Amino acid sequence: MTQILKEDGKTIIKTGSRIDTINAPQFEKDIEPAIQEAGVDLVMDCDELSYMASSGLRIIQKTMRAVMMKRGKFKMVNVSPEIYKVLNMTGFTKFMAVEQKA
Amino acid sequence: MRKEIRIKNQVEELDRVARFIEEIGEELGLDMELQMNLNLVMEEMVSNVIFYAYPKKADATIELMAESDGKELTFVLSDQGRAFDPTLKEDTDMNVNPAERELGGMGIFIVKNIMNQVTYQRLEGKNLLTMKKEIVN
Repeated sequence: MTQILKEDGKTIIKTGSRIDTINAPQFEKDIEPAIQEAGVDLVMDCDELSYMASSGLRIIQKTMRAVMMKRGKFKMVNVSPEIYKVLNMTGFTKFMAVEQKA
Repeated sequence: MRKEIRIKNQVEELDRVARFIEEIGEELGLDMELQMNLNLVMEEMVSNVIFYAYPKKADATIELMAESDGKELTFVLSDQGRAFDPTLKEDTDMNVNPAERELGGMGIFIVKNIMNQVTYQRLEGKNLLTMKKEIVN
């Protein structure tokens, strides 16, 4: 279950445990209002996330785009080492802030 | 080890594919990262077939076979949809900012990165995609 919270001027998206082909359309819908906010300071908290398919990467791409257009900020935090590798392989870590799980 | 699963061309069937990979992982004692990566690979390639190989609403069966000789794990994905070689897709340039790239199109790139070998054949009206991965214990 995706949760969206507001904290100290930031918008925090807490992901569920999976973003896959089946649930990606729902995740995309859930976060749509948050990513369209002007000047949003967006943090995607991936603490619960243990699996992400390319359908999830596509949504990250879309989020980067939307936030860039609205002059906001976007980062991912608490990313598992396995998912970090996939984000690295596909060039995301070079262009956005991705913090690994401690 | 040799195992096979037959699924319908419906996205809900991906859950069964995930369980199939889980069973293989347990049987071969694969580590969690490799298991996750194999799951990712199969999800990408099977969903590709589900979404693009058949006309909408046409019922079809997709087969996934897995075989291990202890050193190498081989998967063969077969379907009877339109001829399509996913290995021919030009790689997206990962040095370009994802925000400025076309959306999506990363599935096959991930598959080629994770697996050691990916080959395509069209044989007797079937698409056969063979994917090999060395398994180190």
